[in-house]
Amino acid sequence: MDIVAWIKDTGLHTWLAESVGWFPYPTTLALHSAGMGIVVGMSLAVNLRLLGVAPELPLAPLRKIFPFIWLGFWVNAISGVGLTFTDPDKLLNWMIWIKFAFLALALVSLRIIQSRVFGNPHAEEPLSEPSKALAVASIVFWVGVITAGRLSAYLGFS
Amino acid sequence: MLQAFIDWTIGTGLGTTIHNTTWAFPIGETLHFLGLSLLIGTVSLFDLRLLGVLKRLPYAPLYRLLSRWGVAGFVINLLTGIMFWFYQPDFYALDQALPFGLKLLFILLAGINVLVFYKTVYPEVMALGPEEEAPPLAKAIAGTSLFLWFGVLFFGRMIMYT
Repeated sequence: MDIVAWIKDTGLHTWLAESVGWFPYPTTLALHSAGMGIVVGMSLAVNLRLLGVAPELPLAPLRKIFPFIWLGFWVNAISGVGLTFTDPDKLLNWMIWIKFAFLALALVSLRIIQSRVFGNPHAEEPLSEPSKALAVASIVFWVGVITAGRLSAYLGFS
Repeated sequence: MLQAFIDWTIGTGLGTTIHNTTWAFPIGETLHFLGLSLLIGTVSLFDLRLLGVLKRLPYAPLYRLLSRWGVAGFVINLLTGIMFWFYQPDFYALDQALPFGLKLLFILLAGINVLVFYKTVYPEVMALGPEEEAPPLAKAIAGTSLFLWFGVLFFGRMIMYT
């Protein structure tokens, strides 16, 4: 892959790959974990609510959670680029592409939930079956992202 | 004393069993990440509400979400964490003593912070209406909670890299 070679030539790659101590690479990794905690954790909380957990939580104010979820996403997008620059050979790992596929599905489902359920100012209970199915799908996708991400350390090498 | 505990751990043979169960460690790691997501997500929501950054959400239901699902995440991580300990005790206790020790310290401090919450502002917070602001002590506890739990995450991640 040309992009792998291109990345390896950059100063950013050298700086990250030659990390000694906790900065910059391990800290980038820690930021990625923190972003994951926010994105997946808060998404799980919203999805659990859609599935009927903590029903006393009114739906409308939960819209305010989404800016935090998207902030976590951007922290991970940026730290993810940093991680790719550290070890661009990861792009040759098919398990990472499974992670990206789950990520795309998770983001699409998140966006649909945000506009369908929370974009409607009169969002009502009981929630429709499609909304609940979306919540389940979203949970499955996020679990898929995490699992594929972790397993890419063990599998996916050609 | 630490060495005695490490020796005892190795002596149980559980580490060998885990080592011989091919996918035990990677599955454990994956569950550890899912557990931390549940914990960080629910803790963050409740703490952000206390800090007044999230508004108009009722406190008690957010607390209940945390006390069930957040605690479930913590328990998953405690159990997988114990599995990791049995797998390679000397790696954590000796080789990676600094980040591992700091991680455990921050978990302990977070636990103390929770106890302080219960002993002080808990009843008052549970009685608040969704439009109301939490008392200053509750905000201090919430800020401390965020700092400590993200600290746990940070030192935990440093464990492989020290």
